[in-house]
Amino acid sequence: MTGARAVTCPSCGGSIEIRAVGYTVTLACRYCGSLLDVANEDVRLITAYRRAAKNFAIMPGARGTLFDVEWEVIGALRRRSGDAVWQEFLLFNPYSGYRWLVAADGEWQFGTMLLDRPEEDGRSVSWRGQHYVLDDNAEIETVMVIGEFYWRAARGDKVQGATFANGREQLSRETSADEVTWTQLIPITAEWVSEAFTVEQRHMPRPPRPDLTEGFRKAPGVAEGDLGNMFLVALAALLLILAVQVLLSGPQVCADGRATVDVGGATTIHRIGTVEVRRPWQFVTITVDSDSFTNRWVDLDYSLVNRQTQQSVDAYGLVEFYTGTDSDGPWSEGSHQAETLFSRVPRGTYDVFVDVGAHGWPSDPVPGTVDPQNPWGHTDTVALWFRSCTGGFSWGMFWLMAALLFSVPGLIFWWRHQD
Amino acid sequence: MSKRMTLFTAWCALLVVLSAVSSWFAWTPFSDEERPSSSSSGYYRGPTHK
Repeated sequence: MTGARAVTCPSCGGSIEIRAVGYTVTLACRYCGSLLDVANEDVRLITAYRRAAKNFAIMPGARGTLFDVEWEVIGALRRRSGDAVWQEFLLFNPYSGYRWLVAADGEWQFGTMLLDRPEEDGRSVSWRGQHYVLDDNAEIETVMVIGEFYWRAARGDKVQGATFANGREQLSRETSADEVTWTQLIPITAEWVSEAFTVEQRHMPRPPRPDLTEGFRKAPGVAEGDLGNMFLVALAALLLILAVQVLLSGPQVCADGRATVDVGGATTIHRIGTVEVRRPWQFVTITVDSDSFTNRWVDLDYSLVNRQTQQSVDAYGLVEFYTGTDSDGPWSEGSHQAETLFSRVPRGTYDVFVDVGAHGWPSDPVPGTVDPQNPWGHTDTVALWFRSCTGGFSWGMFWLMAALLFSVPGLIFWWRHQD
Repeated sequence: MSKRMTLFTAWCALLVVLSAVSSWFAWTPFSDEERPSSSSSGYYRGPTHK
């Protein structure tokens, strides 16, 4: 190898060895990470840092033989583009010059800078009779620097990087404000690299986690800008609202009651339980289940009567179920269950009353009459089972929030696709 | 994060807080006290199928 030169870091005082003397322009101190200008005899501090960049798979100073040439790792970069992070190692041999070793997604590439420029043709390039197609084109940022470099390397450097592929072989084009550089990248096995250098596997760049939302983000109109993220944030907020509403509705205390009412008869009042509201304000939910009637509706006028003040909170519920046949065939409508939500019920103990009236459709049967088709049957009645509980879930509020959350990204999506 | 994204996230956070406050005070814009009772006139009962 070439004769090395030792310099003293003006920032931390550490002694550092320059391996590619005469070629190296920038040196990142291995002790404090400060960037030094070593192009001249006098070492000049470019940028002072307090902590050296570490956690590279191969540290500068390591030597190994690849392609029958002994290389010394003199510099290392950690770079990123979007979510992808990888490491690049600058190899040096005084007779063969510089090469690159790139570790990305658990795979290795060996890079050689091109001296002859490929011929560009839109989204493809040609080089020495081979055709390479554009694979990726994105901004690349250098996030960590250690060791020495033949150019002004620094954290925060940004270049536009394009990759052209021909099978597993790639050509990389990096465009900065000053220059355009081309590098040929060929894959080499991890075993080969491990035989040549001591590789810290725990510091190898990890492949990015699979993005489960990728399909969603790439849907038409969503991939543009941050619209996909807006939909995801709205969804996350809606789930949070769901959790908050459930958590803040309690505690739940229930009482059960039962009532039977004649169809077409006078309304009757029933006490169906007692509930205690223990918070300053709380929802009260009454659910009702009925027997299997048809073509009937049951009006349910509920009253929560405060035992202490005798003030009542009233609400209305309805159970209805109809069947029939028309030109389209048989149909049914309604349900034998219903739920009634009271809001802003103040703290206190409440007796729950319900005024029940059952009716027939299209007309009420005469009370007390017997069905001629079923002369041994009972009088036409409807049986109801009630459950009154403190707490409740406001679906109205939930859907209102959902509309407000999704209206913004929804409007943007609609605006983009109105044509 | 873009300015638009920041504003939208703030909007979402505001709605979450409003939802929490409304839940705490047991308020809802659509409660069944607002529904017309059985004594209200002009309220049709029966199927709306046809």
